[in-house]
Amino acid sequence: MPEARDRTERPVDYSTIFANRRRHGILLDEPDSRLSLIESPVNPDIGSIGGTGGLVRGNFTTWRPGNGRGGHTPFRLPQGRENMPIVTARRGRGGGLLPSWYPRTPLRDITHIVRAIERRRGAGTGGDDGRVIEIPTHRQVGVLESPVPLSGEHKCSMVTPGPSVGFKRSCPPSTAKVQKMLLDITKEIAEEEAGFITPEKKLLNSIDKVEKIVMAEIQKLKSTPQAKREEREKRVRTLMTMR
Amino acid sequence: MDAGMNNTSSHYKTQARCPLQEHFLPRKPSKENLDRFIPNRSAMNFDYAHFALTEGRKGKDQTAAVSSPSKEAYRKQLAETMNLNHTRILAFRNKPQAPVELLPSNHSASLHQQPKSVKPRRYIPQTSERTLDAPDIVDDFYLNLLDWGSANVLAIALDHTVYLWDASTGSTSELVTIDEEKGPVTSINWAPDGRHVAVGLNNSEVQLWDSASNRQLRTLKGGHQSRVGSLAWNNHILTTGGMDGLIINNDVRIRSPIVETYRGHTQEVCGLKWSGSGQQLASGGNDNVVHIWDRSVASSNSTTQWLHRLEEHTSAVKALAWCPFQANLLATGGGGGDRTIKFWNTHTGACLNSVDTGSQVCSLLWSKNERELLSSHGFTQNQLTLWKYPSMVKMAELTGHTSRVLYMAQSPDGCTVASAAGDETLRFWNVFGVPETAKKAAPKAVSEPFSHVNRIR
Repeated sequence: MPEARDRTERPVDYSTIFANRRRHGILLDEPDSRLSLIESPVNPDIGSIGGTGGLVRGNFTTWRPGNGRGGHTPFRLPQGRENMPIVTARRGRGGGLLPSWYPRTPLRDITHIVRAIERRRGAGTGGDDGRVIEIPTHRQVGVLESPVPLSGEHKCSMVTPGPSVGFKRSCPPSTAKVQKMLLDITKEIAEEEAGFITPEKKLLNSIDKVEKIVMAEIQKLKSTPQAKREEREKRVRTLMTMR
Repeated sequence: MDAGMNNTSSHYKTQARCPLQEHFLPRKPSKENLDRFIPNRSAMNFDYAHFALTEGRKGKDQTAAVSSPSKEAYRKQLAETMNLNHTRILAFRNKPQAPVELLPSNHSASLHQQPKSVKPRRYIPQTSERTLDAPDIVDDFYLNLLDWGSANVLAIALDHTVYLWDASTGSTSELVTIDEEKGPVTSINWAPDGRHVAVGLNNSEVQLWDSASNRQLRTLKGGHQSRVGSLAWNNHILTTGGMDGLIINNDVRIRSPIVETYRGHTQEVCGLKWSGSGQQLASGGNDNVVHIWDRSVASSNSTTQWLHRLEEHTSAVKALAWCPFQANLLATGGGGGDRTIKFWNTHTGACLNSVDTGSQVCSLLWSKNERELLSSHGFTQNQLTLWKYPSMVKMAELTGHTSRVLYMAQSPDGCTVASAAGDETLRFWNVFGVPETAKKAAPKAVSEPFSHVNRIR
């Protein structure tokens, strides 16, 4: 049992040693830390050491949380699946966002410092470039949405020749020549405008469509008397043949 | 056809003549039919046709008047002729119907444009608004070291010390430093009143503190045998979850506080959340199980069976979040071996949806204003992801943390989210919208039922 404990505790102790070195910056603490490492499993010895000089107490206070964590790690290991990368995380702390020389104060506002550090990393690191790439993906999504109205407009433009064709059939050739020319002009204008997409042009297109519909209706009304005359003539002929 | 017409006028003229002939062809057989049925009364048919061609409506009225005084035989003959007249009228109506069809197409086009303009997306800032230093924060997945009280005070535990940060003033104060033997702090949770705070310790004790006077009120002992990693308040009931797998309901007003004990988890309880109504408790454990406990059922016995046992996660479940706008809906997030966010109907125990997020889910938060869900993740990206519910489309990915984003807390107004990670930083994100919009939403929340109960969340 004690051997197993020693084996498990040693790597953790090394990380704490490095942490202490970084925090205090004094190499002389090494022997004291080693002594505390050796004696940490025994509680009364810790008490006796506590009774000695003040310096030892200071070191001891820094050691206790590490010891506490070390003591608890055997309990956590079987259930610590989610915390497997603790060591890497701790290493990350040392090389974390803030430089080692920066004074650490709980809940101190370090917004500007962190932003400056991130800017430097962003300039140097490729990973940050990858993150920046994510932003245009949203733009691409926006771009994908824009062609939808384009296709809709094309469909609307395709519908326009329908009524004109019907009108041509109903309209007699003698009187509709001029009107046909006008229709051709309007068609050409609509086709040209279809290439460009602006809200003003959209309104103009809709107005053109309405005008076409109205013209078709008016021309149909005008054509009715002529059609009636022709029908009358044909009916008279059939009646004459019957008689 | 169109191209040919455009190119040459001769083709245009010839094609124009053909449809005219087509118009005449169908009329001849109809006339022959008329003559065959009623050859003697062709003049009458001719007159009716004349009326129909000139004015359809008036023609109909006259025919109705004429039919009343005539004899039966004459009526039958008129009916036959009227039917034929109707067919002709229909022929004229077909032409005006064509332009009528065009109008709805225009309307549909305009309708398509309107909804797009109605959906302007909310700008979600990708960077943190503020960053605070959090030295010595414990990098342990199973703990809950961050909470934002209803008095707009943020409580965070850094190793053995609990600090309070007032979001209104930006000031920091120290609540308590735990002794070496008892610490470190393993969980922290504000009471609904925003004044009292519960602190769970590594030695299985739970301390109650008054943040206004910085005075300890009492200590809850004897319930757990190992560290208390999760806490949840339900009015005056404080529910504690321990490493021993026990869930204990403590009534903080009485001397003997333990009123109920829930036994069901075989490993550490790392997630505890009471529902908005306060009737259901969700618990997640290191045994990959989520339990739903019902308060009314539990009151009958001291040792109770769970209401539902959800076993579809394949890793530890710490992230739990009750939906604020839909009752009986719970979102759960799995750990590194699972990486999914699952939605459950806690009334039936059914799994409604499961989304693979690609990394460890450490915490979940629902938005109070929109139907959105925020999740915090671990390796490798250490990002916060905002999802649109129920489509579960990613709306934003917030990056900046360089270590696992273990703890998240939401501000009382529901707009700001605080996140703490193993990189020893505490970041604030304006991910749920601008405070102005929240103020507009506030009266609606007040009008909603159980608005007061929502604060318990």
